[in-house]
Amino acid sequence: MLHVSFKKIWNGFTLDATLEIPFGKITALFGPSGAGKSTILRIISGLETADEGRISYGSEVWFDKLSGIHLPPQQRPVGFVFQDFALFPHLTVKKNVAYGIKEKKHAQEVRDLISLVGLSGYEHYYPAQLSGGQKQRVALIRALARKPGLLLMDEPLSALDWETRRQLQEDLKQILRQFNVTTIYVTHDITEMYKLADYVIALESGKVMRRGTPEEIFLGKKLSTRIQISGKVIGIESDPIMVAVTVMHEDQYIKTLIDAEEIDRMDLKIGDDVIIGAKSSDVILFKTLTKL
Amino acid sequence: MNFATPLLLSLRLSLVTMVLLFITGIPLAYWLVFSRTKWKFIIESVVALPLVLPPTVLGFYLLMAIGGNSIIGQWYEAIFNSTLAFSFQGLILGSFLYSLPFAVQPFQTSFSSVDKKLLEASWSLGRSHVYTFFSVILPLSRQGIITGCVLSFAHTLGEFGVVLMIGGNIPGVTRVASVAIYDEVQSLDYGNANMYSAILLFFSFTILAIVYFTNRRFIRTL
Repeated sequence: MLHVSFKKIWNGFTLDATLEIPFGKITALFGPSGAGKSTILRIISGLETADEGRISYGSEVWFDKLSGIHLPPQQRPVGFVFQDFALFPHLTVKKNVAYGIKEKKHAQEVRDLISLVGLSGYEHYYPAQLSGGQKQRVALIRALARKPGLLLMDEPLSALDWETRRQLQEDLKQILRQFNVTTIYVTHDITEMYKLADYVIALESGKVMRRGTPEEIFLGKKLSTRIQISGKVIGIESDPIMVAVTVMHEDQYIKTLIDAEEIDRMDLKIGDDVIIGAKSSDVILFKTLTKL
Repeated sequence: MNFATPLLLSLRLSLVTMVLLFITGIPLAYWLVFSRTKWKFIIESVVALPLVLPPTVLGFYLLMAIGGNSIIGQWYEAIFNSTLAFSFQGLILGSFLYSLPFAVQPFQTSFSSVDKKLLEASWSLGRSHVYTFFSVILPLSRQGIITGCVLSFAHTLGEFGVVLMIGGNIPGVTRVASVAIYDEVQSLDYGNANMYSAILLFFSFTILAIVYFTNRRFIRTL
């Protein structure tokens, strides 16, 4: 378990957080921008220092204000994946991946890592020659190459278009499972959080508001339905009795009818994040001829 | 006296100065960029001083500092059995100080323009500040380093006031090309003065053209 408890004040903003991150799981830090999510990652990694508090990783203490302990980032077994990739522009894919590996013989290991994210053949490319999705794959394995105990990902997919995002979400899930690395994943995308996280910590203006599984956090209870699709409300058309709500899920629009009173009760507005649930008895299933 | 002697002396002075500035300017620039002390501005001002100071002022105080009556001058004489003022070594010292901003400022600009995220990425990959400097900052600052070296070389080549004040006009020792021009004009030999001037003009122009050309290519390849 990673125990993080600290306080940091800057420009009148107070970040006061206590987090417990279970080993071997993906924990999402979820919240609006400006909630302090990225700063939490930076403090855990040692790139920034908290004003007070304590960070311990299992039995290792990384930071303790009272006893004056502050391990520099180099000494924390942490991999950091930045939002804008932060690849070294003067190094090839191969050298970027090998950057953090200290063992002398690592050629095979680097080759394996590169093929793991489907970039075999790109070893000698420079970051400027790669697409956004490819860059983030390189950034991911560069961070994992050091075999960190803890992987910190700061909105790693937010600079990408939705199609690349969807593909990468799947790949990420697989790779993280394969490495079985404790991960803290910062996001403000509800779909992404649903797809990836085992556990969610919701933050708002520097404070932890809620914690739990994605369902517990966003529905307050376990759903009895079998199908859940998360998305964003992009249209509400009313007539006196029923209201048609259009929800966008990735690139698909889903229209659903809801009682007008329900809309009022939920105070549903355009831009809200929602989950559409469907009972399995109502769902029709078709077999498609071509596999996507 | 050989016509080429002052030119060769100028070249030697510029080369030695450039190498010294390369060696000392890089750590100094690194410190100026990454140090968090609030007194940094004082060092920055001192480094930039030669940009605004009349060369004669710098030359005058240097002469006072290294002359035979000064502590440094006497100390130097006791060790090396020769004076620092009016010697080639004295010229190196003067040129070093006079060209300092021309090397340090481009170094500084290029170090500080390296994306901070890349440094953080390097640290979080377990690499030390020293490793990060040589593997990330230095290669990404290549252009600034080249610019600083070339500019300090060219600037030393064209220096006159400081050299005359602390070096005088000793043939083969301190009579560099720029001083030789002055000397030839004084003795009304405009032909020779013109030759020296034309060579310096051509040299300076070529150096600057190379710098701007490579800078342009560098920007394009990014």
